[in-house]
Amino acid sequence: MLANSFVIILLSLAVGIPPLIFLFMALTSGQFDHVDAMADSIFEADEMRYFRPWENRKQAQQRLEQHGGLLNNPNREWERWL
Amino acid sequence: MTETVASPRTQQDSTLEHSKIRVSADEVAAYDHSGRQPVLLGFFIAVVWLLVGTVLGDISSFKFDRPDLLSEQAYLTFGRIRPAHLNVMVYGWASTAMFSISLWLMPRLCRTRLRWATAATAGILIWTLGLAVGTVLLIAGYSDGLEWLELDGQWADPLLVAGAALVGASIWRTLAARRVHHLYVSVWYVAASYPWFLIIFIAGNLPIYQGVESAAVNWFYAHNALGLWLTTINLGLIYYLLPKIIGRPIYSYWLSLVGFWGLALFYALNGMHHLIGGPLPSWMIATSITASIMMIIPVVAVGINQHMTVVGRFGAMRYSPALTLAVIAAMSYTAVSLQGILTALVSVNRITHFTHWTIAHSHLGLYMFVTLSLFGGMYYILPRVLKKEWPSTRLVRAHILLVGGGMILYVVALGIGGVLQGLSLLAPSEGFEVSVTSTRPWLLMRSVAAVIISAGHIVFAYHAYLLAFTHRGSLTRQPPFFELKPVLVKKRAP
Repeated sequence: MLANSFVIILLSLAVGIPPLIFLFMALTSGQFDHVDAMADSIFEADEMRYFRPWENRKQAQQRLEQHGGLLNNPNREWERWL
Repeated sequence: MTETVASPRTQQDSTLEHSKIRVSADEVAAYDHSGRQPVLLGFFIAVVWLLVGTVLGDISSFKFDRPDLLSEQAYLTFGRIRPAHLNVMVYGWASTAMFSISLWLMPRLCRTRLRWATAATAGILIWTLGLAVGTVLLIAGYSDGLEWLELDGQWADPLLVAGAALVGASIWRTLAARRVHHLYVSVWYVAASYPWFLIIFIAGNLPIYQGVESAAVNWFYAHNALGLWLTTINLGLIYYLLPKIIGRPIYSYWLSLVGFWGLALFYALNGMHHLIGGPLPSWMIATSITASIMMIIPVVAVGINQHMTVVGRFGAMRYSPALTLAVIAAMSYTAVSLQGILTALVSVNRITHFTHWTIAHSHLGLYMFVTLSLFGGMYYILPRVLKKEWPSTRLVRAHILLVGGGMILYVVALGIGGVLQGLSLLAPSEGFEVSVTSTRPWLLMRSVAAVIISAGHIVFAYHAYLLAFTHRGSLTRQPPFFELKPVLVKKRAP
């Protein structure tokens, strides 16, 4: 039985061990520092200031307070489709 | 307000003050442009495969209602058409579209142009050639005989490996040349997918296994192809699209990392739960069931994170088809994963094994999660790469309602039919015929659903054609973030 399982054990290690090594490498290289800043890193300049038509007044106000004066989205991206 | 500064020139520059790093719209446009050729090529080929796979799937479904349909020719029989449908959808539609999505995401997230774009283009073409050869051979009767690995090991598989390796090389070269130190969670998902896929695909296709070992490796591959290839790139895409469209960062970045590393460390042993009741060592099945149950940690982490990012803003779905599809896909990921964990339990598996429930489950994963995520990605990416908007909101509406409604009908009908079939198979007083009869109405509903979904695919392909090859998309209206127009609030004078 163990002989039949040997390949699966090897394959599981081949798939599972590299992530473990990468996890330690990531920890030591500071990949998990500044996580809040990382979450913001995908946004472009002024993108967070776009007025979103679906947001209620409270949410729009919150956006304005956090990111500054709101800007209009100049294209059809948020045209209602439904 | 966040300060706008120039993008860092090196990785070292970006290690501090990350929150202040903001990329400009022009830079993003340049990143998109760097991968334009392979991205568009991949999407074009993917849509062609989508249509081919749809026809094959429809024929397979109709054969359950009329077994004599198209049975005169050997190449039209169920045993060839059905695996052709699976392979075309997984490797042709999903994987090729995922190549494009990876090649579009990486430059944006690594803040550098796409490297080795020509290699990526060549990779997509070689992959497509391999799949075309494999599909033709499959329909001609040459199959490796293992589920998800039917494509010919001599002529098709080497081309698929070479194609994926070339695309992966472009992804990893871009990663190596990145101008940011920190990796956004989507980068982890996308970059990890390529080595994982190559390892499991090569291992699964090695012609050295026999008997039970072969079955174990088969399901090691098939389940990991879902979890470490199809799932990962689409989760990476969803982690990018949800916050980007809604305009607020992901609810908990820590949870997103828990989701990724949980998947990376626990997923590999899951596949054996497909062989519960089979002649495998009991420790192997027990380990697999345990690993499957442990998956609840990353699944719930991803589910909570994605839900909390969107909560309170579900109205945004009416304004963005990409967001609508990404949200449905994210919910489906949670649903199919929890369903999979449930199905791994022996008591549930006794009923659902060898029934149509498995097909409903796989379509919940491969369609409601993977395919809808890919559609969402295409709705978002194509206007930015082509610099045109989708021409018709009516076609968007028709597409999403047809595929969404059709697939809900599909999963519900086949799920019910599968459970009834399983219960009937377990009843000692009932003959096998009863189990067949009990599923017939549900199989008919599945075929109706398949026709509805097919109509949705035709609408999408036609709309993509209008966008890419005609001038109906408004060239004057740029995609977002190309120009900024202040409204509502003016800056106060200091």
